[in-house]
Amino acid sequence: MFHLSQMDQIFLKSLADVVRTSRTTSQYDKLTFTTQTIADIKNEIQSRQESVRYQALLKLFFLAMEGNNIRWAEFQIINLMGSGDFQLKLGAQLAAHLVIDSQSQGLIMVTNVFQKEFKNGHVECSATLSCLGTIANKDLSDSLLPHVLKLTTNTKPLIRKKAIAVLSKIFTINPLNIPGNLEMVIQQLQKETNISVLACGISLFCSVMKVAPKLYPLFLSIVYDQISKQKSNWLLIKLVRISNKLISLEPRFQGKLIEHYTRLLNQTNSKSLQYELIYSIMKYFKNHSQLYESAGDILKQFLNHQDPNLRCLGLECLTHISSSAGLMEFQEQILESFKKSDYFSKLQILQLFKDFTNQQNFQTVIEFFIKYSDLESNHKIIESLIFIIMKDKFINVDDPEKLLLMYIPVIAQKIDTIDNAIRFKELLFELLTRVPGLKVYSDQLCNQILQTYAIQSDSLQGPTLNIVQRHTQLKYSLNHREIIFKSLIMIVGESVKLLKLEALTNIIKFLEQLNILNCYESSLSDIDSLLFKIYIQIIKTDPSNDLIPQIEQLIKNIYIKLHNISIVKISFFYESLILNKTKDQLDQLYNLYAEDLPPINLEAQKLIKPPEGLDINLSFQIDIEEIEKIKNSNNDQLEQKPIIQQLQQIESNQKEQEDQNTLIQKQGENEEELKPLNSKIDPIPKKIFTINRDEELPPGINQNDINKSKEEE
Amino acid sequence: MIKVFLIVNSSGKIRIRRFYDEVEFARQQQIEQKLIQLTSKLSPNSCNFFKDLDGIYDKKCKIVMRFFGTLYFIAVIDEDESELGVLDLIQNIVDLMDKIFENACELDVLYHPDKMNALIDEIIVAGIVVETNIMDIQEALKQQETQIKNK
Repeated sequence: MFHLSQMDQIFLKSLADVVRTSRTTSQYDKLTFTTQTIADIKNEIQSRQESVRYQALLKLFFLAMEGNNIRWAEFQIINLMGSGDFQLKLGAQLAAHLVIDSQSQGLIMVTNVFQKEFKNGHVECSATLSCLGTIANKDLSDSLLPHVLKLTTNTKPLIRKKAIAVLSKIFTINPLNIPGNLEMVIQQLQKETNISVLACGISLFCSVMKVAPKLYPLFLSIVYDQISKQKSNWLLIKLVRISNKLISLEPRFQGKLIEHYTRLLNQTNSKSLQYELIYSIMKYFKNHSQLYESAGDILKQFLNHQDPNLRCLGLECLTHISSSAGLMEFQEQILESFKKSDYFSKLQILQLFKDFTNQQNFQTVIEFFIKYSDLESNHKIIESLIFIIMKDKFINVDDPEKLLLMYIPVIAQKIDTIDNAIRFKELLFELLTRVPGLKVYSDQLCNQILQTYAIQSDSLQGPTLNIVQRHTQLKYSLNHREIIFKSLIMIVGESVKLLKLEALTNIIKFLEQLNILNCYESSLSDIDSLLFKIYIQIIKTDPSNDLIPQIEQLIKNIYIKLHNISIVKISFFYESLILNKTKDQLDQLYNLYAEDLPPINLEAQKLIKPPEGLDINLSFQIDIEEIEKIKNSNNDQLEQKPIIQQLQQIESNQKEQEDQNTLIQKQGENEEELKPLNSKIDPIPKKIFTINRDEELPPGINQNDINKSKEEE
Repeated sequence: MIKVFLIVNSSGKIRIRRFYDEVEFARQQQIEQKLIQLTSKLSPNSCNFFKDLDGIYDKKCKIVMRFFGTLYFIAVIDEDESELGVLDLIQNIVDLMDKIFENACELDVLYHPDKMNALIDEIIVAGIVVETNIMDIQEALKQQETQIKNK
């Protein structure tokens, strides 16, 4: 420690000087300025003059505000905490959290300092308690617990409430401190009249219940006592919150609260208290219809309120209506509020519909969110829509054809992120796998989605997914459009056998546009695969078709491009196929693409020996015999209860009839909005598609066929 | 309980920071950066609180934000704290700042960091709101100033 000379004192910079200099210093000189200031502070903080040390402390605050690391000053600040000057002590305690965390070594030194401070007057004590509340760790809490407990009986409410607040942290850090000490605090709180102290006490109970929930019986009487007589809104809010926790642990407590909740709901005008009450009622008081209805009326006010915060809270309450039927009552209001909501409220509404969309409101929900997606929330809306469609293996979808031809193209147009493009790809693959008959529409689907892809040449716009192809080591980047493009090309390839010649001609015309091969270089191998499938499909039946030379030219163009951008060598087989078109080669290629890929390629097994120990006769698909056994046992049970089945069917028929009447009106309105989409869809006779939700085997694979081929061997 | 309390200016500089749980400095900085990024989503017509869906602090917590002048007041709260209560608390803090500094602005926070931190410590202790009455808080701060003058 040293005294500053008179000369040094003249040039001593105060906080105001430092702030002014910092604001006028250019960015390039900032580092020099900061370094100089830190050097000055290190010097000044060791001065004997308290005013100088205090200025140094204030400058430390400023450095921390400017984003500089001041943890080097830990020892100095702890030193100041033990100073005789109250201003210095207070300043150091206020700065402690900037340099001390739970891992700091210096906390050991703080214990003695704090023990001394707790014996001083109430002002020092109060400041010390505030500091302890911020920096306490396990060791510090354990050593200072007796002192803090003693302070809970202080005559000053200021000290009592701070001591209780610090106790909540001590009990949370080390729950072993709770037994014996908590009962003492509860006894004191039962005699307490100061509202702030009681509120701190309730917060203490909440903290204890997180680490030791089984202690809840200790709190029941005091909480009930306060709810019945308290008038302070602030305290009542805390009491209602803790009552929610107590009800979940002790359901009988709910019965005691009905009368008081009814009274409070009728009397209070405070929105914050109203919200707490309706939240609690929606969650725990569903069986009490009168109270539930009153809460429902207030909830509707919240949902229609101009204040976005109250609308947001209203939506929060709705998450506790467990049934979809309950949510349907509020559906219109929620969708109306979506139109004028901010980003976070929209996310909340989307989450609500993710949980509660069913077959009845599926169409309404999908059409609404497609119509009202905006730039900011678009990616979240699309993510939610894909989730709702795919939920529980398409449980909400009753018309897969309409989904595929009407909604999916619109969703595809709105996708603008890679994550959503990948989700969309999974949606398409799963839908077409579970509903095999839909593959016949694959060319229409591609037409609708890909018609804009040829016009807009945006090869790598937006964020990209970087991929390295294993067998070729080819590196390429995909953006969201290319991910969708690749998946659609693959789907058309798988559906080639089902498509008419006219559809195949349209596909070839689409691919002939130069832009496609230039814009989607990463998809050339997929386009190549599709072209071969079409080639084989046509050449077997009509070798003189005009499309054949066009396809051959496209394949050649692709291989020229591949030569330019990769190290892949042209397969001798494919080259000779295009030049010679021998019958053997065509037959081999035809067989390769003839049916869905079986899990065990029996032809390949002739040429390649399986590894030792591998049993190729063992199916890696789910055992069919097991599935048959389960089905038979289910059938036995059903046969024993025919009456119940019939009754269920009658009920479901009645429900369907009622629902259809209401849906007819809504459908009429919605279909008007989707008229432009409808005009693009070719008129096809209505087919009934069923979604395969039970079978685990992919369609097209027949275990009997595999067994037959094994027997033939 | 309030887990985190920050006062941030519109350039992203933190003027007041409080972490009421045991959080290491490295993680504190990560949390601060992500919370500051969120301020861009706040607009005059938007809701002032939302769930911490991205797990910035904890997915069970909520983030409350309010904008006054050039300062963002950010609080991360758990399920025991009322969202509207914390909004009122922020309003109380701003009212107190007006009373202490007379037409408070960001410069008052810069030039009087000791008073600003003392104010926050009189309202929130160990993450619990201990006082909301403006008169009582002012009284406590006056007692501190008297103690300083009487040294």
